[in-house]
Amino acid sequence: MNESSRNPEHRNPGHDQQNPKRQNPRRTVSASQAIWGVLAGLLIAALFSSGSLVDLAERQEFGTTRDVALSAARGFDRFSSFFSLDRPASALSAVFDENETTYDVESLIAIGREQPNVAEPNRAPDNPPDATTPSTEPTIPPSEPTTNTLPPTTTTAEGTTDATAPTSTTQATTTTTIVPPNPTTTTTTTPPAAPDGAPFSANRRQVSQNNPLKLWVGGDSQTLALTRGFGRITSPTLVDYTRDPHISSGLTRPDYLDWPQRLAKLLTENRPEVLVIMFGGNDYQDVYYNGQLLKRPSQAWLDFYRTRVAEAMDLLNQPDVEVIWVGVPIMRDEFFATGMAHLNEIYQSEAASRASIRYFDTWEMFADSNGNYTDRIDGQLVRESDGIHLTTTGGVLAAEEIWATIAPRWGLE
Amino acid sequence: MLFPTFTFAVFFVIVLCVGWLIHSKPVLWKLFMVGASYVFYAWWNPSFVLLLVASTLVNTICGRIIAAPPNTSHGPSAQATNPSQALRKTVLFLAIAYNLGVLGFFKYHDFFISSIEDGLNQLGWSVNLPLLRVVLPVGISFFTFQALSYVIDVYRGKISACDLLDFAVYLAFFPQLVAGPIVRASEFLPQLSQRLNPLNIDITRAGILIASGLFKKVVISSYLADALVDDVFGFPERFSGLEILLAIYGYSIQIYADFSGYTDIAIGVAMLLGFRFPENFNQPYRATSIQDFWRRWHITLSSWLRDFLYIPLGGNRGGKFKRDRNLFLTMLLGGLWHGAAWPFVVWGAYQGGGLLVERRFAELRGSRQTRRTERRATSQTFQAPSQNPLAPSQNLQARPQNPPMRLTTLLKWLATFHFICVGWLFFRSETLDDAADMFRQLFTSFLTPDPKLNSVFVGVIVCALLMQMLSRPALARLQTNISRLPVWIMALGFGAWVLVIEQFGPEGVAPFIYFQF
Repeated sequence: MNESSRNPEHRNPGHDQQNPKRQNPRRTVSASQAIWGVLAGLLIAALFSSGSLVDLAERQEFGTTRDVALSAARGFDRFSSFFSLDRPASALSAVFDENETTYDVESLIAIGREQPNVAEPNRAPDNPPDATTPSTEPTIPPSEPTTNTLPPTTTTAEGTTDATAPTSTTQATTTTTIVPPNPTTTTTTTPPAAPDGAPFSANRRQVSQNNPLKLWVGGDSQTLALTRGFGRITSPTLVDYTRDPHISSGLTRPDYLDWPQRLAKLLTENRPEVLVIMFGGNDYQDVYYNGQLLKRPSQAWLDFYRTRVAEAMDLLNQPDVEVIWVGVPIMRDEFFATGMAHLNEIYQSEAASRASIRYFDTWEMFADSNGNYTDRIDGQLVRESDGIHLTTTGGVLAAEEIWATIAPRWGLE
Repeated sequence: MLFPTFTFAVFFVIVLCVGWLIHSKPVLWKLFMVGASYVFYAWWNPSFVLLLVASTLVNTICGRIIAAPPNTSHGPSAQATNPSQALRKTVLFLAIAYNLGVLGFFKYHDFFISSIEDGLNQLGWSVNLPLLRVVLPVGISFFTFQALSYVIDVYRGKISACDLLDFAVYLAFFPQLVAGPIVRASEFLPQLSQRLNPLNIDITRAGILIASGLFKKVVISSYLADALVDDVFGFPERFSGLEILLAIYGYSIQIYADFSGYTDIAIGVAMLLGFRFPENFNQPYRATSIQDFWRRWHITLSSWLRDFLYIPLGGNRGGKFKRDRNLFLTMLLGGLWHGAAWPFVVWGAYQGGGLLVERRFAELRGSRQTRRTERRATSQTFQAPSQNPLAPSQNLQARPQNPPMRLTTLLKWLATFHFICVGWLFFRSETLDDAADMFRQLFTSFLTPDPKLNSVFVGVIVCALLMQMLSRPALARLQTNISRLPVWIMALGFGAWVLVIEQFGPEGVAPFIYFQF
């Protein structure tokens, strides 16, 4: 029997509604049964994946909706755990999900803080003035200064990440085994000077096809174009290139994507020699921090964000890693552009005090001669129609400018 | 609002419950559905809802004016208006101009201006013409084509002009709003005029479509993009020809999984609301000719292009040259419909050229089998008034056959698949230079000492292709057997399936590829 004769919807839409039983061998149900079926299916899915539901609720924009969603999701999660309905998800995660591994962010931050700094003109406060000190201290003491490579832990952090908590508190239950540093990164020479005069503690070495430069570029969606640019302009044989752009991510909301964890994994497992990073586009949003709503761009919000940036920079401020922190380019929307200017100021001042980190400004690169936003440079479209993101051409342009400050230091001109 | 999100799940549960609660009150149901669809659309950008409202008003008014005279129309509205033929033609022209004008303004303005600039720059005149730089409203290509199908079919007398509320539901109905399938007014409005049947919900097929669509989008499409495709198309110079070939295969599967996944969900969601949408994909990578492919891929677009572009251009009338010209133009414009960039134009020309060559080759060969195939294709696919190499008709007999795999069939399949894959290379490339780089790399450094081959990536491609070869009758039998299960077991299976998708899918879901079209 021809299949299509069994499926009248392929012929005349709606036709089978007139004679459903005769033409459709599949059992159909009433609307009320369908509704119950859909509700039951979604309910079972929610119970099976209750942990993900909590994660999802945490990622919502701060406000009543998030609070309600979070309460409901946690209720589901408790119910699911009580009846062991979350076991299949745990079993699958144990087999397939490598994200369960937790990396020791705190130890890396401690190493970063011990690096010789250029200056400390605008060092971030330890805690934002309007925020209380995190109640949970890290259980891992800072590692020895000579130790800069830490393996992943195998213990899963219990509970769920508090979206508003600083990243250090999320590692509270971590246990860590410390291993010796990577031998390839231990050779030390006098730190060379960066083009802008700031010294880098990263070590230059002879780059060859057998031992290419390990370059990593990543960040938020703005780096989609930037990473394409680096992929196009760097040598396929002399540069071992990895890119890691993540849409909607940033430093404000580690509950959405925990960049410090991701960077700790990067530094631990596949330590790059040069790291180009860019954030900002998703960070300029109001946040709840320790129960307080911090409105942008209040001083409290700026201090909060400075703390997040400082933590990330401390994490990246490793002795054998050269970090280029790329500033956000000018934006078409004036309000957004003003916000990005605030963020750039924080990036620049924080980078200035860290030996391994250099700030690279792109604001003027994508502005016209009057300092205003422009879509085109030399006739080429460099910005997407949203007035925010770079086109691939824009990404290549930015990558070329940034690479011009990196390549000479590695003999890759 | 994306389908594979928690937000949509909540939205849909509300719409499903309320919709069936008030289904016996048609006006209330329609008002509710329009409101819900506008909320769905406003989730991207509230201001673009005004575009939908404007399109609804303009096309409804035009439809009423151009409704066919009483002797050719079937609706009372047409009898009421009975305008002169000249006025009908004028208003039809205005309606088409409005719809294409809005589409052109948002989608093609900057492309044409940039192309003019480039042309002038080539001639040595350096100019900077003003660009609009506006964000393209999601789904504008789809609802514009739906609106066009309405006014043209009303003019042709195929359907009656409907009232404002019915048209508002048709144009904004959220399952089909942003990425199809392109459901024509003649397919949708009759269902709307009937009372919804609350006793005939095909929950099995709807559930399977939604579940498979979610898996294709969230797991398959996302994995292929992340594993290799995005990197290779982003900077091909860093990859060997072998890796590029794999990425092209990967993108072929990715775009199928992405787009068919969306339309599967759309069809399933509409089914739960009591509506039947036409099928949009029929195992396209099983095709053994380019013509066969276009009867299986994005079927609702192919048939739209057939009926509203190819046939008005003249179809098969006027000899082989005109037929070929019409076919080529149709495919060229079909390519441009997909995006305002030269690679899409080249892709359309490539497909049109391929169809012409295939047809001419078949005619030259003149073998008995070819003639038989031609006769079959003619009789099955292209009903009067003319033959059409683009799309299947709605006639049951026209459905592409799935012949058993023999050596010649296998060779034809291989040739067709690779022709389509090369086309996707243009389709995915941002610029023609990028496409050229891909080709150069493909043929100049096929093997490198250390190619980054990912066995999982290859496995996914192979499995996806094998899935295309599954017997549809067998799949239908499976669905029939599943439909006999109690609803709660189906719900349990769906919940477990979502868990699998959640485990294997990435955090967050990228927008569907076809949203940009």
